[in-house]
Amino acid sequence: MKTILIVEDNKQYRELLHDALKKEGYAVLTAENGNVALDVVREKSLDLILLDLLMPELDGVSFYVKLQNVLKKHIPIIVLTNLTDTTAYGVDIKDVIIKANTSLQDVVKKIKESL
Amino acid sequence: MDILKKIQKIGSRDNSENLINSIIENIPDVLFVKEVKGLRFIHVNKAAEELFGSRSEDMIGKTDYDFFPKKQADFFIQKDKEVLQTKKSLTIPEEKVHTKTKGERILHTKKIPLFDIHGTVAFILTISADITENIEAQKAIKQEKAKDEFLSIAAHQLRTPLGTMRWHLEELLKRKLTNEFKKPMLEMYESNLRLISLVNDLLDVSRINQNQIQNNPQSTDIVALLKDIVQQVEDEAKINLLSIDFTVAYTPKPVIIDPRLFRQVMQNILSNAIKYNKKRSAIVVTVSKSKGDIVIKTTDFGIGIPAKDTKKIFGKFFRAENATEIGIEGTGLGLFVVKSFVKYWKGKVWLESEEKKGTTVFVTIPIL
Repeated sequence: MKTILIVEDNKQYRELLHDALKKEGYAVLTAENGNVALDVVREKSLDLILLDLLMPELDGVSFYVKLQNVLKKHIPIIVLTNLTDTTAYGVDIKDVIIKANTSLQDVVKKIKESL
Repeated sequence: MDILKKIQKIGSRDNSENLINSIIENIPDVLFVKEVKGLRFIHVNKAAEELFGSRSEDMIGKTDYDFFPKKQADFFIQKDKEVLQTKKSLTIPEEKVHTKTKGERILHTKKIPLFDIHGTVAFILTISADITENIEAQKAIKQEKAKDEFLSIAAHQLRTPLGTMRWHLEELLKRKLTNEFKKPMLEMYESNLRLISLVNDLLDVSRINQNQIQNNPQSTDIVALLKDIVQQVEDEAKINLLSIDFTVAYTPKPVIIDPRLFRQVMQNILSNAIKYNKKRSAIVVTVSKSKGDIVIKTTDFGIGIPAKDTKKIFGKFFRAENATEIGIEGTGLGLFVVKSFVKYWKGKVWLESEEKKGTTVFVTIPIL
């Protein structure tokens, strides 16, 4: 079973994603900010990370930078945000999904394709 | 070489006196000279006459107190005295002056001491540029910027709850629902998507205004991208009982274009084709080639655009009369965004329309 980590501070988004991915048969872990997520990454073996950008304590970009030293293997990372120009935040990740502009079904589809 | 020598060399008979007079009288800046004794005007140029609303002959021999309110005249005299004391020129970056004919003006002023043969200050030369319009333009730019920044922050904040609402509704609509629930929920979903696209339009316009559109051109398969965009709007089309017919008459090689800008352009055009179409109808999207361009044609069979409005339809906040009459919601920003974005790939956009028959929008992408 593939394991997905959702890093997202908004409870509603977190739960919606969690339930949708559970239904698809994935093992799903959640973290409400980058610091919590780093702990999860250290302990668990993951197959994909869904990453929000604007979060308290440790935001998505800072998490992404720190992540590179913690990850044991290369895994896909998909940024899920409501910001328009993610390049302005110095993120060099190709997979960026604007949450409000994408159906939940399409988000799940994108995850399936990336795994 | 100084200016006088230069013009004499190429054959001008003007002497230095003529040249200086000509400069003084014709520069657009205010220029006047006061003698130190009594600080009275001894010369006033044309620009000064115009700004102060008094003729030169009426001003000569008089002081600031004869033309300006006391408080203002006190300020001018005080500045003159500073020049006398320091024997150095002085700059006043911004001074407000109340004039007879032009109301309050803002001047950028320089005062320069002129010395006699003994080295004492004999006259004060004052040169002022009227910077009122510049200052006002700068203020307007600052206000505009603040407005755009506010808009951008507000719109991003709005996206968060709109996005969760969207996903919740999508999940609920997957369930078996009685018509009693299904219809209002579909309408809620439709309104939710409209609000999201409204927020996106506002964000795009604020970014266009701030010149902050990020253009990241990259090799892009236009047909695959179009398929994806069409698929994304299909749900919204289905709610309106519309089918989307996507035809590829020409398969172009990859083009260098920012896929996000192209996506926004096509989403706006398709969103219009859905909104302004007849129910139980279709939207036809075709990819073809014309000379050196890929042409993407989007046709609907809806209300069309009145002939008198077609020229203005790409303007900011403009909406066609028939659209507002029928009561279809919209901001008048969608096609403005389209027009602004196609420029980034040197493309063109235009449309053909007939009222009550429908509209076809053409977008081109140059083939390399």
